[in-house]
Amino acid sequence: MVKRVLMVYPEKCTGCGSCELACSFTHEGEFRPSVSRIGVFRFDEGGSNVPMTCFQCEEPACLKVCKTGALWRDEEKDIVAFNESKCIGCRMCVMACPFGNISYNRTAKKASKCDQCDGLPQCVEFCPNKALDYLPADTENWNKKRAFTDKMRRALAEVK
Amino acid sequence: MIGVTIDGRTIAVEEGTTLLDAARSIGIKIPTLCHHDGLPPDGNCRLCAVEVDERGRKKLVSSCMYPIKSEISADTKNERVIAARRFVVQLLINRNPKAIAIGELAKEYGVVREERFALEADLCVRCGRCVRACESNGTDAIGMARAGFERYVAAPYDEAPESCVGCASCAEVCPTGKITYKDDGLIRKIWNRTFDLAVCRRCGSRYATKEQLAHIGRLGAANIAVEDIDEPRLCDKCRKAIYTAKFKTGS
Amino acid sequence: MNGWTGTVLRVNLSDGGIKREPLDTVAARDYLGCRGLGTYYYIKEVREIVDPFSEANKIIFATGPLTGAMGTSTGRFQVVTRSPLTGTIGAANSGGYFGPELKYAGYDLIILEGKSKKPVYLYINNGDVELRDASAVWGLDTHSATDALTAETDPDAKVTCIGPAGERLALLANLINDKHRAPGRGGLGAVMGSKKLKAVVARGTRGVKVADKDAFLKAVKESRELLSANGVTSGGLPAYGTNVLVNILNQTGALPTRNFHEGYFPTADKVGGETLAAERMFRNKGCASCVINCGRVSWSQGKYAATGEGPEYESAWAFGPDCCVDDLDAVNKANFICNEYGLDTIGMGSTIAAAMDLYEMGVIDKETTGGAELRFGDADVMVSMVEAAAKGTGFGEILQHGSYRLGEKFGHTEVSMTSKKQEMPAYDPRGIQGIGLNYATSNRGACHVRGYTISPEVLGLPEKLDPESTAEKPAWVKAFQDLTAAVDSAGMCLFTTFALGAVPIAAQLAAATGVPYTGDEIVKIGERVWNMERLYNIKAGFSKKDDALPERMTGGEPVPGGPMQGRISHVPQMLDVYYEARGWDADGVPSQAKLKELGLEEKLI
Repeated sequence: MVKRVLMVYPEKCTGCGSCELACSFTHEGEFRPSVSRIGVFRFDEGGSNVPMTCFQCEEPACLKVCKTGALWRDEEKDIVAFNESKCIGCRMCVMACPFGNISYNRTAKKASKCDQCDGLPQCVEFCPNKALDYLPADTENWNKKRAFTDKMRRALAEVK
Repeated sequence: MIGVTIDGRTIAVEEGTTLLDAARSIGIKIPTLCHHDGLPPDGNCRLCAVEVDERGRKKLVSSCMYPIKSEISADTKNERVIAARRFVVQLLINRNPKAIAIGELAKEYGVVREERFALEADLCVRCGRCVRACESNGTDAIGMARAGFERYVAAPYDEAPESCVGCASCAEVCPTGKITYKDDGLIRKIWNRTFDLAVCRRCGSRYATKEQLAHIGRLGAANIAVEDIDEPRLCDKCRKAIYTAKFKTGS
Repeated sequence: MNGWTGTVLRVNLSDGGIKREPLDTVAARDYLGCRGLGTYYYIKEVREIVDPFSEANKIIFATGPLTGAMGTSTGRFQVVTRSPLTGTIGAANSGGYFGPELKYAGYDLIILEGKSKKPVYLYINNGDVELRDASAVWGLDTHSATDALTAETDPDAKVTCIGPAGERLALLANLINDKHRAPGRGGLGAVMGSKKLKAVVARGTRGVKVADKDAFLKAVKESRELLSANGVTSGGLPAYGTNVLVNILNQTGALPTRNFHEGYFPTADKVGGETLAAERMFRNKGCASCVINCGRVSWSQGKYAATGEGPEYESAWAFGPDCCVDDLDAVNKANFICNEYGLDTIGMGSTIAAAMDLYEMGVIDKETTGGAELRFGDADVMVSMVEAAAKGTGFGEILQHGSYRLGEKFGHTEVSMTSKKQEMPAYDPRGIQGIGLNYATSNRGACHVRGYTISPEVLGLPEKLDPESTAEKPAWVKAFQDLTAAVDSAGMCLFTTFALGAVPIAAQLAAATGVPYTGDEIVKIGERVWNMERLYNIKAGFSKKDDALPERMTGGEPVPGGPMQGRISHVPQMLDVYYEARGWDADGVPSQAKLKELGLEEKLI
């Protein structure tokens, strides 16, 4: 399996939210942005939009606090994998993720996070603007993704 | 890998795989109550009973607690198995007639409540999932008290548990809804204890108890500093909304 | 339910009563949603023709079966009530994110009835619905009100509100949703104002289900392919927005200039989409589930410095060529003011052009205007008049009610470039015959988005028609009006129809709802909606004489120069053929046979 990275290009995002719809439809069977694993943040200034989903960190904070093994690093797929059946609904991961990229589904009583649709991310498939892409994890793409997440981390350092 | 035959179908599994997992992997449904994939097996409800044939020796085992170590065969649906499960379901429905999950099992196994043997109606099935969930979180706030029919889930000395952080995992894993928690305004009530909820300073949602935030901080989540737990904070969603704003055009 | 949520919310502003009711599923099947279903409910419930500002009038917010789903550009909703500007049925369509949010809150329709004594807003948070005091936001512009209301409710809530124009019952008042989107035309914002309803604030976390998931995704993918393959929807609109049309129409010689005296504006390019994209645009933007993304996030600079969204082509035209203004900063500023104060841009620009006409005719003077010299081409005066109308001050007090009332006031309605008292948009009916017929017959007064025959007549989609020909136009106008009514009712954006015909749209609807709609059936639904609206207007007193254009168009003033020199509109000649194509009698009344065919014989009206 070729490792791939999910790339986010905020400068190309028009804020249409197709990614949220595709995600919720794939995972929940209905069009429901509120439970989508990817979210678009829309800003007045300059019409900026930032799509945001799990960065699949190499050293994830969520994993550190998950004590049931529901979250783990799947090195083969290069993602932070989540086994819903092992989740006990403690919500520790939700609060631990510095990026806010895991949410809690109160109906299912389970955490919910991006699984990159097992190698076929539907948000990418349905983004009409190529603001999301799923690219081979070669050095160049990997560095780009790293640069993006580093920028996020710096931004985050300013937010409590 | 070890060969195992379940209901006539032979598969190869890794040594140590539980019979329950092996059966599930080929789509065989075995009912469970105390089992939770994320918690250590306990085998206390005995609902997952199956019959194992170990070189001609047949015995009933709890499939969730039976690690496959040698070539065996198992039957998940024979008369003996069904009778054993019916017995378990009978005891459960006698005691827990109001639990929806138990009602469904009783229906499935054709069991009706025997009023004359019934103990006082209760929602707790003594499966202990709550206790194990609490243990796994490292909070160890609740446990099983007494024995036999009198067993019940409790905090030590029946007092509000000191080490509880109000995460409500116990409630979330409870199969019958016996354990509940209520968020009311700025507080969460669970196990006779009242927890202050952290309020998101942006959207106002009450998203966690302060004790749980401190617990997560102690577990090593870098974004939560235990010492300033009372600082106004952001919920996961608003945290995202605020820092993504740094990516606005021109900033 | 699939597609629809199955729930209608009824709010009585007089007594504060709030009720949830099951959706009339038979009506939903026959009228889809948005414009069709909203109008059906309006007519069925209000029964009589009422004063738009009376307590008996209702205002309905309607979503469609595709709203909130991942159809192609299906983020639309509709506001339906009786228009105070025209007196016709008023239905106004808008995109943004508000419509889907209403759907996610769990409602197909919000029926607002009665009248509040004090300013209120409606807060819908899924199942929790309440009328709240709006005295703190009454008087605020739409942007400040939106910010204040989301701060007071939920940062993720979506807001549709009125600005000061609507509060003052200006007949050009629009509702504004998501700060920059407008259920525009007809002055429907004034109906909100008359009910003292400042805003509807919605937050929804539920989902929209579809009947056949695989079929729906397949239909969406097929439609998306058609949209990507189309030059307008995948090239012109995302790159330059609707304002890509300024140069195209100017080259055709049908860019109304100087209050429709002329059809060509030499410096039009300065306010066109290409210039906007190159010089004043941050980026393009999409409404919910949009695959076209024609929105403009833009700015103006210099003395008009501001930021906002737009302008659409018709807005740029109204403040630009129609007033002979070629200053893009002034045009952008005028457009931003309208969004912030809740005014209709087409009506506003055209009304200022009419006032400039009156000024140059000598009918009004500096004394009337409060000192302003209303000369064509004066950008400063144009912006100052927009400001005055937005605030309702000085001469703006008259301008805020549109060009017809302005003309009436000074005894010169011939300067009002309107049909049924609503201003004509940015396509000269003398140069383009079909659009003129559509203006004249539009059920809400002159309107381009009721039957956008510009598509075949100018853009060549789905096939190229000679803009000057008349023979085949009545049939085309009918076809476009009917398909548009269906698309409007589905919750889909009209712009998809540059690439999509009825069949792919029906495929999305069928998969979403489980009702086996075909292309022919949805066109029939569109025709049903059109005839229903017509019946309402007839009851409201409209007749053949109102299916007309200003005399300036139909012979009074042939185009004086440019590619269309000498042309006039032939609406009077086309009208009878149009009636016949519609199955209406010579007076424009639907025949019994037609009503029966459409299932409208059981009289709604």
